[in-house]
Amino acid sequence: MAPSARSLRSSEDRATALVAVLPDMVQHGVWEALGTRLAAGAVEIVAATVTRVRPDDVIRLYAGNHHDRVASRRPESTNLSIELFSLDATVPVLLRTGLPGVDLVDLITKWKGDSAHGRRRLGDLRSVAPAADRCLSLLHAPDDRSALRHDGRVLFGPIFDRLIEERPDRPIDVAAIARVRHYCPPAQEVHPWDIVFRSIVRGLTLLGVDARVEPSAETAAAAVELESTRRAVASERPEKTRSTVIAALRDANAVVSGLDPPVIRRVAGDALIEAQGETLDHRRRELRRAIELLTRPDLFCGPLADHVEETLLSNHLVLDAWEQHRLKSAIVFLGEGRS
Amino acid sequence: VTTTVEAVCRRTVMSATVFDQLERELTDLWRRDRITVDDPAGTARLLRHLLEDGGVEAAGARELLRRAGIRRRWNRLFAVARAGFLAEQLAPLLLPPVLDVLAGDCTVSRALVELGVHPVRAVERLWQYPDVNWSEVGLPISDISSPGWSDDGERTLLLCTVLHHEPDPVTLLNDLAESSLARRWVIVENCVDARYGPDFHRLIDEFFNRCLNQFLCACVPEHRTATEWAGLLGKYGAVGGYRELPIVPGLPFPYQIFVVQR
Repeated sequence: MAPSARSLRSSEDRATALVAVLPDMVQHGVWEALGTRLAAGAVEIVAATVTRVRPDDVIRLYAGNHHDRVASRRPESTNLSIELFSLDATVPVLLRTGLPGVDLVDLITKWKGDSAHGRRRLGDLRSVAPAADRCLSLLHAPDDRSALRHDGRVLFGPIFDRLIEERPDRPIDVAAIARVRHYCPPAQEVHPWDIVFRSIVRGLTLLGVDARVEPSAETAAAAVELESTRRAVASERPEKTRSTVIAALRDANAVVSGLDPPVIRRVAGDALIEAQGETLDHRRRELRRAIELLTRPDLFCGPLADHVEETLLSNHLVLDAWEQHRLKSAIVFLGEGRS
Repeated sequence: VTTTVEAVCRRTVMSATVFDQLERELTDLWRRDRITVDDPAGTARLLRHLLEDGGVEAAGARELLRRAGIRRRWNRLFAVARAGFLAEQLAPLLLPPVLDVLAGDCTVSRALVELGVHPVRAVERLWQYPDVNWSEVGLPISDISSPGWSDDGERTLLLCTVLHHEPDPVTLLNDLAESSLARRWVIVENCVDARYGPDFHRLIDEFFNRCLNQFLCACVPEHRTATEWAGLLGKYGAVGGYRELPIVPGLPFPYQIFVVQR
């Protein structure tokens, strides 16, 4: 028997809220500042995933509040929002506060600040970024608790109801979530093969923190270890970088190949939900294999680069056009030099 | 000298403008007085929302101040920097023996003694400070309801930010005038002016006494301008020695000092 609205309300955990970190903030890379700001309210991230929000989901996300009204008056800007959502991933996070007596949805709604850049105030969550895109404005949060499950289902999928019921309380390091995107502008790239390491770290981080996969501390730890390796390689002298990269990737293979395959958290439901679960399971397992391939420089070649790129993208680990080119170049050039 | 629980617990409804000012002033004050806060602007904004929604007794606001270490650092600032600063300003004006009337947790009285002002005695409504261990205060203190509290040959009465906390300050002043032979009263107040209105003073009172700390002293709308205090105090003697202390450690607004010669 389905629970009544009353029992659902009474089981709601007022200390929990949902925030979607939108593509403009995902690329801004202001996670540390956001984490510090949230920490003032003893707010921690307890679940996360990565999703590239599709146009119909953008409309569903905003259907409850301003979208319809905006669409009737300013269809151009509505289209721009949909377009911007497609440019990079969105990172939805479930938050919990340790402060007593706080309705976190209500608090976040007030604390996030105005979506218009000129009306933002010092101390707002949105003001952690020096500027923001007017269309996306860094963060989305449900306007009230009644919209929490709706927005959560759009962003996390059917697992969201289970997350809410389970009340997860194990915090996820903000720095880890920042590594899910790990964006680096081309001009700041320290060497041409860094993107290979970042792709490995991104994939392992997603598999380690994704709320839709059974948690794996081992995988999360491997992401941290590979990030340390990446930093160490970045400090190498240019003439030695290439050989150091190949050696480091071979060493990484020992770590990655020993990891258990990801296990999807199943959600009972209709045929569509179960089919979506199967698809996700397949995608995450492919991601795990692609990461392992990235630690095999002896196999590097053009087709492998294409396969890895497709796998990253199908897991919503967005690569922009420059990143796609750089990843492919790195794999091909490292492969051409093999003995 | 009486107060009522009703007056103590009276809840204030404040405008958004006053909370705007609180948010700005707290951010500035934490920076000015080096009360280390990881994210002053974000913390002040969050605190403002918690106070605005839940009132000054919001458990979330108290917990925020405790967790962030703000409570500990701020109280230390009050106990050391503010008390020491005030003692330095007040010492030249005080003729011992001094009776510190409604001395709170006696941080200023102790700082005066450390500066060499002696003897100093204090009276308070002891029940209003349930967390204070009076045996550790280090100077004679008695309850203001005990007989003979004001008759120990003091030459100066000190009332340091006392009067605006009194539901009926005139009654307190009348009691002092009747029961003490002290010829000098030194009064410290935080006065209403163009920048700091009565609602802001009231909100700060409640924030300090109901949120940052849980003291039971009354927080009542008895704030006045310097002119109004001078007018009231003039009924008890010649008011002179007026001074303003523009920056007081731990506080967003200035203090004003009045000396009443009886």
